[in-house]
Amino acid sequence: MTDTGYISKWKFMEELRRYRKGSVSRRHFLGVTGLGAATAVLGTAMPALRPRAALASSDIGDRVVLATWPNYHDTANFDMFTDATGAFVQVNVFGSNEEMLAKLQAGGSGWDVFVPTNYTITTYVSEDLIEPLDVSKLPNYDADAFDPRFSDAGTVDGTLYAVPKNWGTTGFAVNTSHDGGTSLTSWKDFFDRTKDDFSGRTMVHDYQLTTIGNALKYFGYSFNSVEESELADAERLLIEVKPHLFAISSDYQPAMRSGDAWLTMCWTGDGKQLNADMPEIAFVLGREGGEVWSDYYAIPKGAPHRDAAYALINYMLDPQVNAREVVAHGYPVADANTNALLPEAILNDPILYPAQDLLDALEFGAAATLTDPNRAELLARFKSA
Amino acid sequence: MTHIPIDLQYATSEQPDARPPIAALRNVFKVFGDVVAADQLNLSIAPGEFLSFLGPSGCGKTTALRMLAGFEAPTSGEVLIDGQVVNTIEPYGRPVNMVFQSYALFPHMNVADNIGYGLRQRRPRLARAEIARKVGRALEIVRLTGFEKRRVWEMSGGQQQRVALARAIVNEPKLLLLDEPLAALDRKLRKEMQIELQDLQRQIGITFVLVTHDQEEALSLSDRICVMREGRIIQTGDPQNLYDHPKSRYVADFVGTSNFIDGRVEHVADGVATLATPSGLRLQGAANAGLKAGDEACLSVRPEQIHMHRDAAPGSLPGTVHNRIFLGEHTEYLVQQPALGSLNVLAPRQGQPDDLSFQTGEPVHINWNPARALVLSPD
Amino acid sequence: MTRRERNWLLVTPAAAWFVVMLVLPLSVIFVFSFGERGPAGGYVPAFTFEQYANLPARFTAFKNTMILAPLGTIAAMLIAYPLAYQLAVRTDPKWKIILLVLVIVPFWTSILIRSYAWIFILGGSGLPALLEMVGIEGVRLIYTPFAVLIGIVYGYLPLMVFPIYVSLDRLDKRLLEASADLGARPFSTFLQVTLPLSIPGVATGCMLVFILLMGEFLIPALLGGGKVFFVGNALVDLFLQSRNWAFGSAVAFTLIVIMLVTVTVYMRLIARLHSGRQDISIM
Repeated sequence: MTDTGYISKWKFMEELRRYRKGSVSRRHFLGVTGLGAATAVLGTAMPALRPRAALASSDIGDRVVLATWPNYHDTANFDMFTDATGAFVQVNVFGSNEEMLAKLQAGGSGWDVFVPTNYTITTYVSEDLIEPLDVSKLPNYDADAFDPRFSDAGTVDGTLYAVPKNWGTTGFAVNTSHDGGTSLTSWKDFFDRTKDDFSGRTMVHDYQLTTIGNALKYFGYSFNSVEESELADAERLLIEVKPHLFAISSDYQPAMRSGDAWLTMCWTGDGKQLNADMPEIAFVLGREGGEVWSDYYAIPKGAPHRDAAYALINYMLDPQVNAREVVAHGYPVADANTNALLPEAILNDPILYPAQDLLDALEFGAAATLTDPNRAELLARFKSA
Repeated sequence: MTHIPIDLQYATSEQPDARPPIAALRNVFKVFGDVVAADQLNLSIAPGEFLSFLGPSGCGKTTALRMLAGFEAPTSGEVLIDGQVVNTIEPYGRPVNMVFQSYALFPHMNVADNIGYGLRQRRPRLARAEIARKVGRALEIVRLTGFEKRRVWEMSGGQQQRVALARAIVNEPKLLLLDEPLAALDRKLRKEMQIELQDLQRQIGITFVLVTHDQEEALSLSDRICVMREGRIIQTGDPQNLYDHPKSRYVADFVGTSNFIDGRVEHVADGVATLATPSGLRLQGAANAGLKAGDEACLSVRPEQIHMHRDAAPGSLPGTVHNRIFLGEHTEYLVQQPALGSLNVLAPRQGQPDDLSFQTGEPVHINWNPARALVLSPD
Repeated sequence: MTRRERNWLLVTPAAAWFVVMLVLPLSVIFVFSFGERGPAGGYVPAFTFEQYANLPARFTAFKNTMILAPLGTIAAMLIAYPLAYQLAVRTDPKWKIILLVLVIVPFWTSILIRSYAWIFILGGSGLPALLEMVGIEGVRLIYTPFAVLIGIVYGYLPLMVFPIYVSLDRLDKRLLEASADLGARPFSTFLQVTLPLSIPGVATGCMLVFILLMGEFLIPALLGGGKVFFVGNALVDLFLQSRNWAFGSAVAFTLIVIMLVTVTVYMRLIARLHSGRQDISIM
């Protein structure tokens, strides 16, 4: 935007490029657009698009299929993996854990490795959709180096099903140039100010776990509550706030960048990216608490290239490789070996590594939260209200 | 050799009508890109007459008609209808109606609605009953009473033709324009419709302007024919006049059939020209105006003007019957004449006893009345 | 091979397509709609009308769809008609192809990218900023039903333009001359000849756009900011988020029934409007 407010075509293209670069927020977007499935089909249907296996030196096969989240890897690492093993990494990106679960439930996913979030793993185990891991095939996995807080969920009933990838938090991003000098520090602030000076400028996720969870935190309830009366309070709050919302969308970066939205629920990586480009946007963890999460690598039942799956996970757990991943996507890891290789600036970043007292108030999502039909219905009622 | 008062005959048909014309073209030019579609057209159309524009496709006859209808504006010159210059008046403002080549009936309306279309456009509005009455009358005229509710696409070509006619005449136009209205009909139906058209025109007394490339149609229907060529009017006259006294080889060729013999004018005297053929024959005929000694010219003699004999007669030429086509009332012969080439001869059966008919290969003698032959400029 | 055998051979691919792509999925949806949701989502066989009884929970989604789909169809038609008319009737034939291609060009880009352009245009620094310059302040366009309407009209315009264009292009221009010749002024000619004869194209375009709009979810999701909730969005949520296949099937089946009823009534109406005309085909 120039001084006069006139949109030049250069500016327009620049904006568009920024939108495309920063728009794909972690969990939801591709799910909504159905593009995740499209990339998967494209990769399979057009072998010419795949790099040729260079000097296939192992017998793990020519490919490994990875189901993961958008903007969550350093593609150079995949290329190196292909060079070393001859197996091409075919990446399918997804919008939500729910969608991943839906795909595996439907069967015939064809995946070798997927990236479930902590609270989903017990469901995968009970639904018999996930393979127990053979640690002997993962020499790079140094269990003791991981903060157990972010690796516990990988083990169910004493069996290891998943190894940690990255972790992060769900807070909110606020454009501080619009807060009138009074900073927002809690979910109470988030919702109250939305009804007041942030009216028409706030976004909440199109995602039941976080939107309902954070509304529950407003009342001091558990992020994971499935208590009927507590959910009723959360629903009342959400419906009360809805007229003041700019949008219900997990694709909040464009609106925050353009200045249309001033306040949004936000995941760590997006908060980091927004703050890096626009320092006036702060990433805040609600004082009452909220969500902390941890993602894992796991192998689904019936994976067609199981050897390649182990090879890929093992490769990604190599601290050198893992450090490159963190630098590329900006999500923290719980692995001391990897952290030892990361620069100070990243380790001291309060967005990636929040203060201990804030971190202590956070809760991991629970399995019951994921599958609770009442919470799903609540969000549908909220959206169509 | 008899003198033929050619000029007198011409005068009767080309003298302007005493009544004021219902429509006229004055010095009309029409240019499309670099094509001249109308080249200095001058024409007056008398009230109640049946006028035809005759010519091959691309001769400008349709352009002339469309300028009368208002679909084309002349590049220069004036189009007059009922004494008014109408150059700038849109088609919907002209008291003129047209019957289109493929009828252009409205497919979403029934017969009655098609016919009543023009009446419904009138302001002030006509009463429904009045429209129905007029439509009924028009259907009666075209003999389609009872067809009111029919869908137009369900009707035969001839019936559609009549609906198109009724749709035009119901408006009682000053001028009814017909653009090759019979072209889409088969031969037998076309003959019938020609008679109907003529009857209709006499019955309702509307001025008809017809465009056709069919000389037979023009000859049988019209009071007057404008023969057109390359955007120009070549000759105007009543059918018999055009047939008997074409002013050019083009007209003689386009209106009826004729034998043409090329040569050079030797001399002209008393309206009679003597033509010398390359083979050295000397032939005479009524001279076209403006011909003088030394001009290239051609002699035109109609097939029915040539007489055939078994024995030589004074001035007759020898020949051989080359071909013979029996046409019922007439027999058409192709006679090979050593100096003139092939000649068409049409002999009436009447006065030609069966045993006297000529056989292929038979030697014959031919002659014609020089007064019935014409010496024309060859254009 | 007999003629009968040959005919069967020709019909087989279409029949197979029909069964595999239409009958089978519909049957599955129908059966699922009487089932129940599993404890972790998905489908558990059962026979219950519970899912249909629960339909009122998606009333707003149906209401939004039933309002915005017809509205979007009509708006697209009102914009497409003059455009198609200009192209078919008024444009020099040598420009027609180029202009027609320009109408399709947007289709070469993914609807996602195009919708993003609209997010920017309708967003605070786009059109509202321009309006502010001429003194109209505080206009909110993005993430409103109006933005969804704009996205719908924009996205589906070519689908509307083409059938109308074809019917107008096919229109015998001599009929227009005949009408003028019979005394009708240009606007009367339009009302009495051009418009009625282009109804088949309009009907086809409206049908195409309406049916697609009934299932639309991307444009409301992107331009409605999650606040304009279509049945399509409800279905995405039900199948991909809450994984309630049984309820999702009931919603989907209801949508199909509504669509069938609407389309049937619509076709009857159009057919009556053109009682008995054989050259009208809607689909």
